[in-house]
Amino acid sequence: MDSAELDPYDHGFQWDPYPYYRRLREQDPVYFNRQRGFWLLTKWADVHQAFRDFKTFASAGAVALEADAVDKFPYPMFISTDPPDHSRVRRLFAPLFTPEKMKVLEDYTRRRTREFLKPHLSSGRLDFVGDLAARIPMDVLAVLLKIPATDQDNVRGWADDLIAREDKQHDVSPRNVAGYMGLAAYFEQHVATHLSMSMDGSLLGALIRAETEAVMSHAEVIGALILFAIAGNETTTKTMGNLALRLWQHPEQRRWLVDDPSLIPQAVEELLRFDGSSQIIVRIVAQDIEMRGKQLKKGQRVGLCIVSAGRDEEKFPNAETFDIRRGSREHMAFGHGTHACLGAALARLEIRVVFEEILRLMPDYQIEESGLQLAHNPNVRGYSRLPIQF
Amino acid sequence: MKVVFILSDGTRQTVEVEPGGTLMEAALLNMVPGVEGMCGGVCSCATCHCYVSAPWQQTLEGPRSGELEMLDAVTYRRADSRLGCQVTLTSSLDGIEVMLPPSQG
Repeated sequence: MDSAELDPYDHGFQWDPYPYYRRLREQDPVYFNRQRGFWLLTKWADVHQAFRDFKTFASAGAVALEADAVDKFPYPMFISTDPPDHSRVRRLFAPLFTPEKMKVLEDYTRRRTREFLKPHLSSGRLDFVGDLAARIPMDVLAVLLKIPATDQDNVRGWADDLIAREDKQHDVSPRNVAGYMGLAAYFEQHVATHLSMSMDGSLLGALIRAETEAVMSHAEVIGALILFAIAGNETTTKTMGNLALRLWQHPEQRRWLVDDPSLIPQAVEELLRFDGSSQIIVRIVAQDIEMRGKQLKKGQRVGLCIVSAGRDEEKFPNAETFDIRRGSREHMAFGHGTHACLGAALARLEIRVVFEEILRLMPDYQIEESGLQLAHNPNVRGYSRLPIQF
Repeated sequence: MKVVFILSDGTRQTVEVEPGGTLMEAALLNMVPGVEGMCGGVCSCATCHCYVSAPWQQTLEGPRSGELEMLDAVTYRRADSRLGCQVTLTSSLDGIEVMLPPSQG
């Protein structure tokens, strides 16, 4: 493969990256893009090694494939830190995100899903993303962060602006920076408003306590809120859309779920392996290392292609076949290890509840393919519009 | 403080960590083989399964219901099974010895 051929910022690539990933896994699994100066790891074993070996594959300074992202986004995010800084912050939040803690949100998620669907039931059509999948994660996040309903569209809009990439846009754009600064200004105000409130066990409460007790700096708290707004919105919304599409493409498997909704969790796992929304997680080489005969040098950026890893035949037999009976949780759709997605249990809950309701209310929904719109970003893949009829 | 991981083949690996983290974190930060810690400590994957022997168990808080649910799914469950991510290391646990199962899952 020509080393300049694969460009994660190419909208054509984003529509269907999987044939490209397959060619890389087969022909050039540790791939260097000379033009842009970054590596891509595409095999399960290599991605797994990079997640585990955090001393060689560091997170500090690794936000995105764009080299200038760190300078333009000034608030520190714990996703871009290494131990011991990372451990200090991670320990505050991990106990708040267990499945047990998330369970209390299940009834709320179901009620809101029904409320979002209700106005559309008589018309027989809706935009699965705009009317539901984009709204549920924001709505549930708003509970955790005490964001009023009137502010939700703004917060989600800024997050969308922050990640949106024009075709072959390799640098951070003014729109991206404006989205970031919108979130930052909003959360500065939000924290100021809540500083004096008596705090409960909420996520916002934990953040404010961390600041008042000097466990986190003020800038770290704002950075964490921005991170939650991005991570809590973009990835879950797009994973829901991808699952809606794949089930429509596999009507027999969709029927199994309609007949037996207890299979939905393993359909979610299969979707995460096969078409999870997080495509590329970035690390920086902290010490020179050789992988499959290639020399990765200190300071170079490395994209860990996690859905490519999920489609690696050496790990998963018939890896490019979508089969909900597989139900394997060995995908790395939520990352792996110390930096694994904090919100994984929440995402799993939201997706399960949404599909329990969708498959009950509209088991034979059809997608209007011509109306599909992709939200373009090299790291997160999924739809911004997904019209369905039912 | 010291934590001793005993792999299923009997190999001992002693690691040095600061109190305040978890057993899983101690293993991940030192890349101890046999501890995956896939979900990163949110009690969602049971790949930090380990055995904490009775004398040390007595100094720990018992597992909560979420941990017990996850342990129900592991292959090599024993009476002294714990998830490493749910065991916080305090200085009173200095020197704790933890055995690992033949495989995670």
